[in-house]
Amino acid sequence: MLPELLSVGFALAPVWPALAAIVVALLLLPGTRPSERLVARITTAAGWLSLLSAVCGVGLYLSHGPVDYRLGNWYDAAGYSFPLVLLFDGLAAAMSAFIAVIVLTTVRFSVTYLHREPGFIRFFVLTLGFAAGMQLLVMAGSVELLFIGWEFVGLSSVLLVAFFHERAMPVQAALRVLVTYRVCDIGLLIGAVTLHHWLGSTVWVDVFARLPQHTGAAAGLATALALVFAAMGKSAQFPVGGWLPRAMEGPTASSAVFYGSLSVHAGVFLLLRAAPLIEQSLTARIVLVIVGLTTAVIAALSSQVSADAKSAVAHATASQVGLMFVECGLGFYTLATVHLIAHATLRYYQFLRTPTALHDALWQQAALGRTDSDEAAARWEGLALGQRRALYRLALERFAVEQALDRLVTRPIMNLSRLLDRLEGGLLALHGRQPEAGTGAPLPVMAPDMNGDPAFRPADHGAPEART
Amino acid sequence: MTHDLVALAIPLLWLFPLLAAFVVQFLIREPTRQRDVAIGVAWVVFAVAMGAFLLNGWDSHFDRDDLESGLFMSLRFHMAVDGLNALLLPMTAAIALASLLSTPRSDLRGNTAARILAVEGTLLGCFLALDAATLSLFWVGSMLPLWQDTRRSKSRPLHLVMTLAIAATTAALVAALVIMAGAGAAGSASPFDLLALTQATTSLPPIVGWLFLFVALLRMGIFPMHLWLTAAGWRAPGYSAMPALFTSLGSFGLTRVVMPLFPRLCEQVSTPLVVLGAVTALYGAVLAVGQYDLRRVISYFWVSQMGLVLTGLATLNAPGVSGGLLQAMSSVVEVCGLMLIALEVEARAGTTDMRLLGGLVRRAPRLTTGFLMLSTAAVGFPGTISFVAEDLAIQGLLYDHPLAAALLLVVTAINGVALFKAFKQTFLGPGSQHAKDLRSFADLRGWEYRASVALMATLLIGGLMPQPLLAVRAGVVDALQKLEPAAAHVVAPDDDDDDDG
Repeated sequence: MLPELLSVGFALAPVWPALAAIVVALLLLPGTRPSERLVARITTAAGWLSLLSAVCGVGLYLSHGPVDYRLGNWYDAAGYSFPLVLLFDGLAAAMSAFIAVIVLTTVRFSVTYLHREPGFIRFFVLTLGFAAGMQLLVMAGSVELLFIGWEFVGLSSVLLVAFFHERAMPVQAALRVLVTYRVCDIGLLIGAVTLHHWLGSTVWVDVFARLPQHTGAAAGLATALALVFAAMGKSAQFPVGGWLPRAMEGPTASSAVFYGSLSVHAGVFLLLRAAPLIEQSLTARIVLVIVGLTTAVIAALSSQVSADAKSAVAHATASQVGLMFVECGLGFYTLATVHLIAHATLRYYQFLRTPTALHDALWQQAALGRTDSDEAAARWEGLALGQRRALYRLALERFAVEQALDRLVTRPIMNLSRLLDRLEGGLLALHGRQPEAGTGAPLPVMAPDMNGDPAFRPADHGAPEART
Repeated sequence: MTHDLVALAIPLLWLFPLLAAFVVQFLIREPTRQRDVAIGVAWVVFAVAMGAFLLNGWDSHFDRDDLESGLFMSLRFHMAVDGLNALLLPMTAAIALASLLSTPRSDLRGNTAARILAVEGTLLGCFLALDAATLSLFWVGSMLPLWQDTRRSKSRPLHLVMTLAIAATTAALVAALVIMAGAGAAGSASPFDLLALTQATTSLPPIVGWLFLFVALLRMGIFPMHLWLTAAGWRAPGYSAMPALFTSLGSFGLTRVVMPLFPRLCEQVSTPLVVLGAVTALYGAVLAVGQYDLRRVISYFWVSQMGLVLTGLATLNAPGVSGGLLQAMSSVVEVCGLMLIALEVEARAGTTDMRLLGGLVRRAPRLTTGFLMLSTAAVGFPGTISFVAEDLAIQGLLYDHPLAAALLLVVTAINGVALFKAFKQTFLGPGSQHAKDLRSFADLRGWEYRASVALMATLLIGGLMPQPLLAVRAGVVDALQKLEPAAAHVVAPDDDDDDDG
């Protein structure tokens, strides 16, 4: 009876924030704006309930060990079913409790921090969606269910980066985050597909049970590499980590909870969850070590030359997460788990403190006679001038990784798209016309993304009246 | 009782809108009255379609033989509501209704309203028909109002490509019918009756199957036959084009005619069709991501989705067909919703060129939220119908076509980027000078808002609880799986359901 109750209690951890998000969204539906106080109360209540559920999970694990909790199927069709299965083990319990605490703290912090902000309600709806996704992610018993949580985390992350949507930079940064997430999510989906193909299941417990009979298969390597790729995207690792400093355009509270604490560590969690799978592939482990080390070095140097506090902390975060990748590659999973929790807590605090960075620096100067920046400068002094310049430039440009990706991946796709478009346009002879109001005809000159570019001045089309 | 009600509903569903179109076009002169009559008729048809769906929606494909009836002169229309068309009826009626409700009053004059009703009537007739000749007649008829619209548009190439599409469709269907009549496969009494043909011991000449396949692929907008679809999606007068374009008539034709009548042909072309579907999906996605016009983004995205539908259906296995059918339905709702929003932006801003837009969220938060939610649903976000459909389609592809499955995952990612990019350029950011200069840009109001909410609710509720939707098509999927390639035998229809009309 008790384990059943605790299991149900734990399973509700993602339900509370999801329910609260729906309630707040429904309050908006009639066109009225609920008060900040009401939204804060609903969100806080969901946070506490989620924490209570997480405590149930900890209690369940301590009293009964790992539990494979099956809730039935979401849907059955044509001989295929989507299982709703949760895995309540020590990792899930610890992470769930940690997430609940961090989210609750963020909610309490943000109620004051975002008071009278136009996007107050939007922020809380997205944070609740994120909390639900993150809780689902850590307790998912199958890759598909983990993917659902993963997607919720991704979408809320993108929308919070674009929180200040009236400015061009946050919006552009959100697109960058989305592109990286979407591309790397393919890894998780391919992982699920290959697992189905290879082991006939994506339920973690079944996968781990069948692994010993299927070691050394090429499908195992493909699965492991696909999952590593997915983790790299979410955890901002080389070469797909360029989005992290750009994601700092969002509100400080969301930066703290997403990129300091939880979301950025979701990739590491995936590696920990899929550890038995990754362990059986030496190649995947080597890739993990190389990616982690490269990120650690690049991000650490970039952090040293960052001009603003949030970017510096973001780079430092990526660097530490890189070390966690190395730990996972070397098989030190317990160390990686401890590192994850400790690092997430520290960065969370650091991010929340960044708005007062200048104040802190002055205080540090007054108390100690030096600041962190002075220490960084002293470290640079140890290098020869030529080396310093070269390294500084490289670090400032983040080792040109983004430019290389743009040149090798983004531009060819966009060029192909426009080439095909021109071919079709030529075929239809629809192009080359002067734009007409109401037809959506293209401008005479095709130009790159002009949105937000002040230099771009389209031809005057007048100011058409709205039709009613 | 149920049979009587459905028998009563069937002529009402297709004949009523057609008659109303005639009345609105020729007998009513006052624009407000034209609009009111058109909307009233659309509401009635929607209610009847919903009723037919609820009464007969769970029946299996080709299991019904009880709605054959002489209609007028010597014509015999064999029509039925079954698992394959049951969902399409209320969906088509809803799209027509949404088009009428969303069209600005200044644009909704007699011609537009009549065209929307005419398209609705012919589409419903096409979905209901269990007779190849009737189906072909309605099939061609459903494209004519759009063709007439393009004739009046200023774009000659659009009119030309539409003319070519309709001419090719008509030629292929007429040829198919002539060969069918010549072959007399099901006996001289009903050479076009689809039900009789599936039960016949002799099979039709494969050329008929090829012709129907060609028409279905053309109507789906499969590469390289997609040009008419993207051109019409971009340049055709918006609201009247919606019901004509955004219905899954192509995939319907594939499952109503080609798959049951020509199972051997389907087996032969299964792999090429999977490849063609995957190529179309990728082609549409790559083109969508580089567009500057919102309507073009949606049009290419629509092509990409049709590729995905074809890929699922072409697997011929149960999860693939189930996923393909569900995707065909969900993509109609999503793309229709997105196009509706694009048209509303066009009506307010005078353009859908995204370089002239931006920052609309400040003036139209509901419009923005609607676009965002429909976009996330369209790219298969968990909790929406598309997620379930894509999951099933990929499960269907997994064992025989793993590379196609992997390619579709890439396509989904590119589509996500394309739609979010369009969202960003249209609704977010500081906005272009043109957008800033707009004197008024109203948010969704009244029925526009309700229609958007209804579309979103359909996608969310259907996605969270997909089992009833899957159950509707379960009989169809089951029946298609039992078709034997050699002689096209299907599950014997219930004798109780048979009557002599």
